[in-house]
Amino acid sequence: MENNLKQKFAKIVSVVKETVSVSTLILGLPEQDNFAFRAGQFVMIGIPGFGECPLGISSNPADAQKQISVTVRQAGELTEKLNQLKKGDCVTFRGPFGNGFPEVASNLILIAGGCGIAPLMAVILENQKRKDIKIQIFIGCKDAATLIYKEKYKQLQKTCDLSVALEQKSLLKFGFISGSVINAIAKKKLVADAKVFICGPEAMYSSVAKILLEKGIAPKDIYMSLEKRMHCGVGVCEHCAIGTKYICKDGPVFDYEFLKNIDKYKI
Amino acid sequence: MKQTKAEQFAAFLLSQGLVYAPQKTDGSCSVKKIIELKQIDWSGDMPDNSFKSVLLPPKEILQEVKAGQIKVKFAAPKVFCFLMNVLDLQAATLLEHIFEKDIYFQARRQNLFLIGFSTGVPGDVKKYDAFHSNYEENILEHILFDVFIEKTDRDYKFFSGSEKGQQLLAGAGINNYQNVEFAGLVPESGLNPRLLENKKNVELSENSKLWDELAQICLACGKCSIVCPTCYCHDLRDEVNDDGVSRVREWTSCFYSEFSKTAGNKIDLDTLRKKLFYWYFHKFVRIPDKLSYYGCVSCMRCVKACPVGINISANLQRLQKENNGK
Repeated sequence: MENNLKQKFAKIVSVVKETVSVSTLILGLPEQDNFAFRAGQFVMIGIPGFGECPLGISSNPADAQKQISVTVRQAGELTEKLNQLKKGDCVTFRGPFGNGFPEVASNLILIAGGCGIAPLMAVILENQKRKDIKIQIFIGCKDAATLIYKEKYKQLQKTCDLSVALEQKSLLKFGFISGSVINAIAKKKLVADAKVFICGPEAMYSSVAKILLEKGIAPKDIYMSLEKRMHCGVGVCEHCAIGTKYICKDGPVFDYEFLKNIDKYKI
Repeated sequence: MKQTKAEQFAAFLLSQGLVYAPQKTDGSCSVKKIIELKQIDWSGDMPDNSFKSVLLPPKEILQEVKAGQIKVKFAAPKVFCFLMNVLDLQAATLLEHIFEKDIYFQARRQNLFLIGFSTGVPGDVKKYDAFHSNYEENILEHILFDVFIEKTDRDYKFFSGSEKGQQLLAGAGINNYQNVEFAGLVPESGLNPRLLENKKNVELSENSKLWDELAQICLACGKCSIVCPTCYCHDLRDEVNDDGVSRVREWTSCFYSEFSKTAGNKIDLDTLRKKLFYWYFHKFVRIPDKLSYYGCVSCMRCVKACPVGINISANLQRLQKENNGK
């Protein structure tokens, strides 16, 4: 029987300082572990004495055996400590947990709010070279100073239809539009026959669902990745229950067919 | 006075490991560690606490980080949960299923024996206000136990529910017993109608005034979930010691605000109304939905423990009335 609660150590291979309060940690994993994950799954990352927290994996699933990346936004004591770590330091990790996004067989629309782009980046990296599907990406962010993965977007524009919406005007020039991500979606013609993957602050979910439904996308084709305080990661501790399901075990990705009946996500 | 067969069995258990059983002191009955045979209460009365803390310790160390090494901790002494009533066995059956992939729970369970007891089914029905189900004739086939003892008019009847139970009975020199094969959680006749009824009533009750009324009096003390034999919510957290860090699993309650804290210190269950509904929804909807089994075994301990007299049975009857005709 596998011990899902046992932590292991992972060494930080490098750190990318994304913004003042957000860092991406690239973690080297022991090769014998044969680590594999699906885009949208998460790992529990921690520091002994400070606990652990769920973080979506942002790197390409194809590279999982060597290393994985997680992006940490400072929101409390542990994430503040994680943001201070340097190359060579160790973190604890468990996982991967959760269901991840479904297999992609059709066009893709990816909608991210703030750091919500992190797990979607794994979807992008996994699919961006495919010729059989189109990928349309909407990223909403407060301003250029809080936008993460800035160095990736110029390259991404070559293979994907990318819109980055900044709510406050910025000095950056390429491809950015001002206003909310909702406005960006409203103005754009969406690719047909697409599945929509969404990740961002929960506050944006019902408004994003509303605009997508108005544009004729079916609830079963809209997938949202949820976040909640999790402890065990395997659906036992009860902290992350939502309706009859658990975010850690049955999610974190749910289709809107299920979420439309949950108060918080109702339109 | 000559020992009964059941007392002889209890004496054998005391010689083999730790025995937890109901004890009566000053008129109140509670499950405690037994040192001497005479401490055991054979009345079949519902103890104030359950065997939950033996099956799932209030706090346990899962691993320790010392000098840069992570070491997993297991503690599995030989333990006997003795004279568990049918409702507590149902609660243990639920925990067994919830923690079926938990290496710590299962390691403990290998050396932990569930020994049930009944003073006779008709007697039990009078004793417990079992609002969640009817006593089926084949009830033993749908609960997990190692040994079950039934008190009859003249003697004690023994049943074994597992290979472990058979070995234990053989070790105690008891050869006259009946084997009961576990036939799964759901009886052949299908899901219990009362379980389905309660599920529907709670599912439809989100807008009921009942939750507003209860929120007016509930203190969110969490006593109900602590005494509940089926509540298993827990935290995983780090404890810093002199020489390292222990990772511990510790009971919590969904009535505590910390329970549903999310990033940025927001509280998901931010009203008592939401907490109350969450607790009932978990017991009567989420668990039956997940396992087709009871999330509440109607032991009524929460009613006894509640400082403001919230009565789960009365509340379910109220929801039943509200939903009649829906």
